[in-house]
Amino acid sequence: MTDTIKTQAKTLTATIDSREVLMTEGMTILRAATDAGIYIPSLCHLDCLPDYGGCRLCMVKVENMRGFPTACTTPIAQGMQISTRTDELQQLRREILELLLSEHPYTCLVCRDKKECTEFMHSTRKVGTITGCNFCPNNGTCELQHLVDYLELSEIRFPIVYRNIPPVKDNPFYELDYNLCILCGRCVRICNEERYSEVLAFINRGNAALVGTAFDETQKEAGCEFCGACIDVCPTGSLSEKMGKWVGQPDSSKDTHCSFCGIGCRMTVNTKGKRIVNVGPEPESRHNPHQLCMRGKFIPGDMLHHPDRVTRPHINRQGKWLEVSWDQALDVIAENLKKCSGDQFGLIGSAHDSIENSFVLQKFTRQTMRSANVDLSPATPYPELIRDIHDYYASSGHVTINDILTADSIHVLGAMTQWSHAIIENRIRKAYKAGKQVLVAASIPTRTVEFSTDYQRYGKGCEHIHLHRLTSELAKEKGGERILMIVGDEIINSDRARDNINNLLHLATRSNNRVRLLFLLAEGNRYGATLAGMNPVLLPGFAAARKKGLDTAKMLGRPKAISAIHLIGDLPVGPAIKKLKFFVQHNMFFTPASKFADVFLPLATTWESGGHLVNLEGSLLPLSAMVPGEDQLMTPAGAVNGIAMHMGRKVLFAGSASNPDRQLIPLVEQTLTRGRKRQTGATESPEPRSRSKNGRLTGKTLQKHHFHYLGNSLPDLVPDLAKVLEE
Amino acid sequence: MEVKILSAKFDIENSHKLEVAKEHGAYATLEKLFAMEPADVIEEVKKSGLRGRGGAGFPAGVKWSFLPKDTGKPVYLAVNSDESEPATFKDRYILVRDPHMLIEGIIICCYAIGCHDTYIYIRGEYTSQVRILQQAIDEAYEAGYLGDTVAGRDFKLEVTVHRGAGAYVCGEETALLESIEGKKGQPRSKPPFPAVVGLYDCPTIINNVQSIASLPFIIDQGAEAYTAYGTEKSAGTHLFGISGHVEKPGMYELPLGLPVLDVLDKVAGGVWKGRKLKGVIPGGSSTPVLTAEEAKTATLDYESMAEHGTMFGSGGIVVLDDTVDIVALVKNLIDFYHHESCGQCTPCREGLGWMLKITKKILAGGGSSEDIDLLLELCDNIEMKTVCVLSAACTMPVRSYLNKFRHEFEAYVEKGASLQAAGIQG
Ligand SMILES: Cc1cc2nc3c(=O)[nH]c(=O)nc-3n(C[C@H](O)[C@H](O)[C@H](O)COP(=O)(O)O)c2cc1C
Ligand code: SF4
Ligand code: SF4
Ligand code: FES
Repeated sequence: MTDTIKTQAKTLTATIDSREVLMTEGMTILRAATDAGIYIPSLCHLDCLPDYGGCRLCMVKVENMRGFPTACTTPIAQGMQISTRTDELQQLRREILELLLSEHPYTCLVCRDKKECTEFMHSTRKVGTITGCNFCPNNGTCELQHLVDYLELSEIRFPIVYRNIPPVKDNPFYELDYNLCILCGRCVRICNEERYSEVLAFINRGNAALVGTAFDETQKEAGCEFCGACIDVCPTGSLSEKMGKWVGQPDSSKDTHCSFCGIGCRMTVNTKGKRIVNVGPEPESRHNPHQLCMRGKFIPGDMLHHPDRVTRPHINRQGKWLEVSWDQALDVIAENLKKCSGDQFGLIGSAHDSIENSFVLQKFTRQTMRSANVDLSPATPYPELIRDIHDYYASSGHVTINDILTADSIHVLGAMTQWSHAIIENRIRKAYKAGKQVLVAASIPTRTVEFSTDYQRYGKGCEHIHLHRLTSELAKEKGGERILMIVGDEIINSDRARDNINNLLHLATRSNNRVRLLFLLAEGNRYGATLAGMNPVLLPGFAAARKKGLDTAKMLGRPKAISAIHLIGDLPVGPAIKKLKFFVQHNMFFTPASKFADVFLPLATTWESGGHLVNLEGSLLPLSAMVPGEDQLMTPAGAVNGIAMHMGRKVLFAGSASNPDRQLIPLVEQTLTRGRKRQTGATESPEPRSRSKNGRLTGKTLQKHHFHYLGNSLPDLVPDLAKVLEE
Repeated sequence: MEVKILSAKFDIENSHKLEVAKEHGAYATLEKLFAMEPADVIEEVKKSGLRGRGGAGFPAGVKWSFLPKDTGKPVYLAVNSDESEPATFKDRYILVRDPHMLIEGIIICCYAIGCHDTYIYIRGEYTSQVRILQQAIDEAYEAGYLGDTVAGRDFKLEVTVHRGAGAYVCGEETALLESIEGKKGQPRSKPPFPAVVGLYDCPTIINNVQSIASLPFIIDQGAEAYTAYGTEKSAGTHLFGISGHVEKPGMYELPLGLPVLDVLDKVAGGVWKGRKLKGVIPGGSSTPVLTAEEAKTATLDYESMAEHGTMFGSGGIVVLDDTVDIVALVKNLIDFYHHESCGQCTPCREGLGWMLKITKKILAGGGSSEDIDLLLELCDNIEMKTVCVLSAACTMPVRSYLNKFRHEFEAYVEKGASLQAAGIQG
C-alpha cells in the first residue's frame, strides 16, 4: 500500500449487496467493495494505475443511477445502494466476456474437457505460436481463465477470429504475442503513467486497435528500458518472459529482496524445482509497486542457470583445470595458506554478498589468517565512506527512497539513475510529474534530464567545482524548501570522493536537516558488508581497527605487496594477480582472472543460500534462498570455515552457513537503529588518491559499478544485455 | 421560411475578410460586451435558451456556470469544429463564409467565463477551411481583436487552431481534449467532467462552432430577440444541412420548430423524381430514423424529436426515398462507426465488429432470423455500456431500423435479396 498522507476524508455509509459498509470519500465503488471483501470482476483496472474503465466487466447497478456505471471509475457516494451480482449483471458480463474472447484463441477456455485436460496433460509451452491455454505461458495464472470460471461461461456464440499477427521476438528478454491481447491497456498505462518510459501505445483504432510502439519501431528504438513492468501487469499470456517460457509452470513462489543494486526491491520469485521460472515485483511492496528493473526482473534466472556455471571445485595443474572434491580442494588451500599467514594474506569479498558471509569472511581473515587485509571489490574510493554515511543517518535520521516524493526539490548529482537505480529514477520522474523541482547536474546528459526542471552540465572530472558552487549557494539560504540530494557515481567514485562527501555532509548537517542526502550505493549490500567488517580499517560495527590493513587497490596495486589472495567473485586482472604465490577464486564462473588461480571453488550465491543485507537507506532486509542450487556449491562462509578446519585452526562457526552467528543479525539491527556515537577527530588524514580513472559516466562505469554481480560482468554473461546497454 | 441570422453575411462576397465583415457589423458587439459584467453575459445567454449545437443540445449558459470558481488554474475554451458526423455540414459554412462571427463569439464566451486561451479543434479533412479560418484569425490579431489587449481592453485572448488527423471520435469532447494534448484521441471516463478537469487537467468548456457563432447576435440584440425565433424549449435558429433524395439539397438557416414535411417540400423542393418518402433521418446519422408516417407529425425541435423517440441531433437531415435498401444502409452505418471506434471499450470495439459481420452475412443472403435478434441483443449490450456514446450513436439508429423496417431484413433472410429486388412493396 502506498504511503497515504493523512487527510480529513469523510466517512460515508453505503450498501453493497444489501450489506452496509463504511467508506471513505473519494473511493471508487470497486475499491470500497474490495475492502469490504466483495468481489467485482475486473480486467483493465489495477490499483497502481489511474482509473480507466475500458473493459466494462466491473459494471454494477446503482439505485437511482442511469445505466450500469463501472465500479472502477465511479466514486462512492453517501447512501448509495449498489448491487454487484444480480442475474442481469452477470448476464451482461458474460456477454462482454464473450465479445472480449471472440478475438482470443478461446477453444481451451470453453472446452468441456478442460478439467481433465489440465489434470492429465502437460503444458506444452515450447511452441512458436500460442493457440490455446495449454500452449500459453500464462496457463494457470490467467485472469481470463478465472473469469470464465467465475462467470460460468460455457459457450461463445462468435466464431474465433485469429488476428494472425506474427509474434514479436526481436527483443532480448520477452516475447509479444498480440494474438492473445485483450486490449485492457494495463501495459500501455504502466509504461506511460507509472514508469514514464513512454514506449507502448495503442496503435490504430476500432477493431484494428492494437498495442504497439509509435511508427512501428522496435522496443529498443522506442526507448524501452526493459523494466518488464508490462509483463507483470498483463492479465493474459500476450507478454511473457522468454526464459520462463521454457521452464514450465511454477510449482512454488517465494518473496525476497533483490541484491543487484543498493535499493533492495522486494520481489517474488516463481520457481519450478531447481529453476527460476520468472521474477515479479511483489504487488504491495513499498519500494516498487508492480515494478522492478531490468536486472532484477530478467537477470537472476539467466545468471544462476547459466550454462557456463561452474559447479565443482577445481585445481589448476599447469594451466589445466582438474575437477576435484571439496576435501581435496580444501587440503590444497589449507596447505598453502598455512605458509602465508599474517600480512602476506589478503581477502577480497563482494558487496553483493550477505552480511552473514561478510562477517565470517572478515573473521577468517583477521582471526584465522591474522591479517588485516580485507576489503570489497570494487572498493569504495575511500575506506570510511560507508561509516560516514552511517554516521550521517545516525545523527540525521535515515533517508528513504520515498523521501524523493516528499521533498520540495531534488538534486540529482552525477548519477545515471535510469540504468543504475531504475526505481530511484522512477521516483525522480514521479516527483517531476508532480511538479517538484528536479535539478540534474552531470558531465553527460542522461534520460533523467527529460524529467528535470534544470540541467547543468559540468566538464568531465569537474564535479567538485559544481558541488562547491552548489553547496556554498545553498549554505547561504536560510530556511526554505526541503531539498533532497541524490548523490551518484561521479561524486562517490571520484578521486575526490572524500572532499565531495565531506562537503555534502557538512552542508546537510549545517542545514538542520533541510538538505538531506541519499547515496546511490551500487551493490545490494555495500552498507551491510562494510558494517560486518569487510573493510581494511573498520571492524564489525564500524569500530576503528587498531591494525589497519591494505585496501583492494593496495593489495592489487603493487606486485608482491602480498603473496596470497582469497577472492570472492571476480575482478579485473592486473600485474599483482599474476605475481601471487597463491590465489583462490571462489566464483560462479571461470573468468580471465581464473587463469591465474590455483584453486577455483564453486560459489553458492545468496539467491541460493539466503541471508541479510542492508540497503542504501540503511534498512536491514532478509534474503531468502530461492532455489537449492547444485549440490556442490558452497557459500563463501562455508568455504572459509572449511579452510580453517583443514588448517587445523578454530572453526569460525558451528551450524549453518546462512546463520553463522545468532548474535549477528540482532547486533546489526541494533547498530542500524541506535547508530554509532559520532567520533569527532577520528577520521584519518586523507588517503593518497587511488589511480582509478573513474568519476565519469560512461558505459564502462555502468558496467563496472552497476552491471556486475560479484564482479562478474553481466553483459558478458547475458549478451543481450550488452545490446540493450549500447547507446 | 428561411431566416438570416447566422447566415446574414454568407452571400456577401469576401465576407471572410475582416474589412468586408466589419462593414457588415463584425465585432460591433464588443463595445456592449465589455460594458457588461461577465456574470451578466452568462445570464443573458441562459435567458436566450441557446442550446449546444454539437448534437446533445445542452443549454450553453448552464454549462458555463458549471465552471468551478477560483481554482487558481486557467480556464480553457475548446471550440469543436470536428464536424464529422455523416450528413452534417453546417459548421464549415461558418468557418469559410463568416469566420469573424466565430471569433467574435469566442471573445464573448471567453469574456464571460474568464478564459484567455482558446483552441479551435478542426477536422483534418477541412484543408481549405482551415486556411481561411487561420487567415481570419491572423487578421483579427493584427487588428487587435485578439492578443494581449482585445479591442484595446485589458483582456488577453489567444486563439490556436489545432488540426485533427481524421478521426470522428475526436469530436467527442474528451477525446478532443486528449488529441489537443498530443495523445491518441480516446474519450475519458466521466466524471470528472471537463468543466472541472478538462484540458491539461484545468477547467474547460467545449462548445460547438455554431453554438459559439450564435453569441454575437444574442449579445447584440438581446436574449429576447433570439427567443423570438423557435419554440419555448428550442429557441433561435439553426443551420440545417438537407441531403439525400430531395430536389434541392443544401444548407438552410431556419428557425426551430418547423414541421419536417413542410421543410422538405417548401425549402428542399420535395422528394426527388416524384418518388415516395420512406423515411427521414432527422439530425445526422446517429439519430434514430423517422418513418414517413412519423415524419408527418414531427417538427424540427428538441421536444418533438424526443416525443418521436429520436433526437434533434446536429441538423443534418437525410431524406430517404422508397428505393432505399435499408439493410445496405445499416451496413454502411455500422461500417462507419466500427471503423471510427477508438477501441478502448470491449463492447464498442468487439461488439460493433460483430454487428458488422452479422449484417454483412444477412446482406449476402446467409442470415437467419436469429441473426436479426442477435443484432438487437448486441445493441442492448453495447448501448450506454461504454466510456463514450459513439457506440450508442451506432446502436440507437440501428435498433430503430431493425424495429421499424424489420421486414426488409427478413426479406434478405427469406429471399436472399432486398425487398425492392424481390419485388415486394414496403
Ligand atoms: C462520437 C462523438 C462525436 C462527436 N462529434 C462532434 C462534432 O463533430 N462536433 C461537435 O460540435 N460535437 C460533436 N460531439 C459532441 C461533443 O461531445 C460535445 O457534446 C459538443 O461539442 C458540445 O458542444 P455544444 O454544447 O456546443 O453542442 C460528438 C460527440 C460524440 C460522442
Ligand atoms: S498486452 Fe496484455 S496488458 Fe497489454 S493490453 Fe494486451 S492484454 Fe492488456
Ligand atoms: S465507446 Fe467506442 S469510441 Fe467511445 S470510448 Fe469506448 S471504444 Fe472508444
Ligand atoms: S475494471 Fe472497470 S472497466 Fe475494466
